[in-house]
Amino acid sequence: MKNWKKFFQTNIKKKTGILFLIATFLLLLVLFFSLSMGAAELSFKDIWTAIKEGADSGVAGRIFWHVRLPRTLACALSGAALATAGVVIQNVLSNKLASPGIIGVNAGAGVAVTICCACGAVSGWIIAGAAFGGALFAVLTVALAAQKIGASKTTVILGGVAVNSFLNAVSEAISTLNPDVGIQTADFRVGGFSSVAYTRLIPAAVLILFALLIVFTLSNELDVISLGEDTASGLGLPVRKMRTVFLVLAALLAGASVSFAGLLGFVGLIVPHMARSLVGNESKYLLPFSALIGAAFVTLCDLASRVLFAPYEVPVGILMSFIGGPFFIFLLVKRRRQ
Amino acid sequence: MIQLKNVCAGYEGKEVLHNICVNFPEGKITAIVGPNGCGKSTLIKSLVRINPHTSGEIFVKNKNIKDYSSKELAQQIAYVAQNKQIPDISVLKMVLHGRFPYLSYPRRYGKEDLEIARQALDWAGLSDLENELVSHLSGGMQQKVYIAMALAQDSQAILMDEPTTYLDISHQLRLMEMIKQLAEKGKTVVLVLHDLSQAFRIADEVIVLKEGSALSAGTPLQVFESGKLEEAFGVTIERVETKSGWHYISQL
Repeated sequence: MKNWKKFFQTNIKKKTGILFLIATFLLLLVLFFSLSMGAAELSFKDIWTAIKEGADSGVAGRIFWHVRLPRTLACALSGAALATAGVVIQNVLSNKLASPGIIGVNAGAGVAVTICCACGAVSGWIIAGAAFGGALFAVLTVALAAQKIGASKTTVILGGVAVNSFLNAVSEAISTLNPDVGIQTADFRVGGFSSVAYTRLIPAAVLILFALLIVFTLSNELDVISLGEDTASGLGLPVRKMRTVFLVLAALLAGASVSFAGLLGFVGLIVPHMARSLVGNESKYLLPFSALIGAAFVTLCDLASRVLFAPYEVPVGILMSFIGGPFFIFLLVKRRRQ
Repeated sequence: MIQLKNVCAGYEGKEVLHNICVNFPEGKITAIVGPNGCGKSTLIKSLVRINPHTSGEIFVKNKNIKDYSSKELAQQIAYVAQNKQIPDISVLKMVLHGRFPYLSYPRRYGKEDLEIARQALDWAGLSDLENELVSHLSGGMQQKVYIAMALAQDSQAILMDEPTTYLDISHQLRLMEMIKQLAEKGKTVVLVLHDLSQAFRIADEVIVLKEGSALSAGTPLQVFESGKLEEAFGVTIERVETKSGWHYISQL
């Protein structure tokens, strides 16, 4: 295993292309299964007919356009967004244990969405915008606190966990005091894709695609910022400005994802680590690769949550916590050994 | 190359340096020495605006540093920090980042950047390690990578904050040889050093700081004869001639 890791890291340029091809193929395969499998099976022919003839092509067409496609797109988009946000946050905070779910970024977006529900806001744009605002508030709180008190890497995480707990408590309080909101946001708080609709998905998708595009073009800046504030400044990078830009982009990605997928934990932690072990830490490769396997990972988890216990469906957020919790402990143990 | 006129600087609202007036000449090695907390690091950080000066003026090539953009300043001065993150990226990529100040958005390194980075690697004797991860190298090699990155930055001046910290004596001596070569290339080299003997051996000019003020500046002999070293450190300094030149020995 170590030899493979070394092999990939030292010959990264030659091997990255192959890894990207494999990841793209896996993503396409998982996307197809996600479109095809479920309570009603859709064959390749059914899907092709639905694409050609639209939603009016019968039951299969309606299932494809109104159920499977939004759900599959939501999985892929949220996976890509959360994984990329994870890489960005880990690099900016110089801490590989950080992720949008752990330091309260998702929880910040969650509070904003809960408040939107309590106020009766239904517009996808308002909800996505509010989620971005909540995520931004949380990530800037953690980053500013870290900067002000010169916090160590562990303290940043602990501070983030505190922000996370506080914001989750706010969401819970609103849901408890307003039972209607509690019912509306029950799925949301666990995280899942069973009720995704285009009205929420499209605004968030626009924000996610925009943020992904910008982040991918800033890969060298992200690498330079990872060298530390002094070195990055010495290389002519306006560190404070760029750090804020990255945190805004991470908030945009995580917030937009939370606005339709709910509080999906651990994607932003697990996927960047998987990607780092395969393509190394150079952001030029790491960012798009994380987005690819993040999309595949969440789609696969959602598929498993639909298929494994059929006819029941386990919210994908629960499945991810089952995977993510032990993975986080594994990382802590690994760090301790290092 | 770099001139400071009545410069005051500090951080977090605290003034650490008071009315500093010094020059860093081209093609020379200048060592900044002084007791802990006297403002050595603050001084070189003020030259790259990490700790911006609060009053006075700093000129780089006769142009006020306030008139330089971040990128322009980085093209003039490279800075090797004391506290460095050790990234999990390849040696080549790391050295390539030295070309960062020359790129505009979306910053992508070109063939010329690659060529300059490889020349810097070759100069530092790191060519065989270009695909190795920086984090897998020894402390001495990591320091060399940082210096190669500074060289790839192709700036007229190179500032280094405690470059020999945590290095064994063999790596320290090798590093000092590299630093001499940089000055021979015509670079303005500014070093913050703790080791007085090392500083006096390598430097063409020495600046002694105490409590944020420059007590003495000049050639090692001038500074030694000024008696300001004893005043700054509260120790006795002896100058001893050896086969390899004059050495400076400190004792209580």
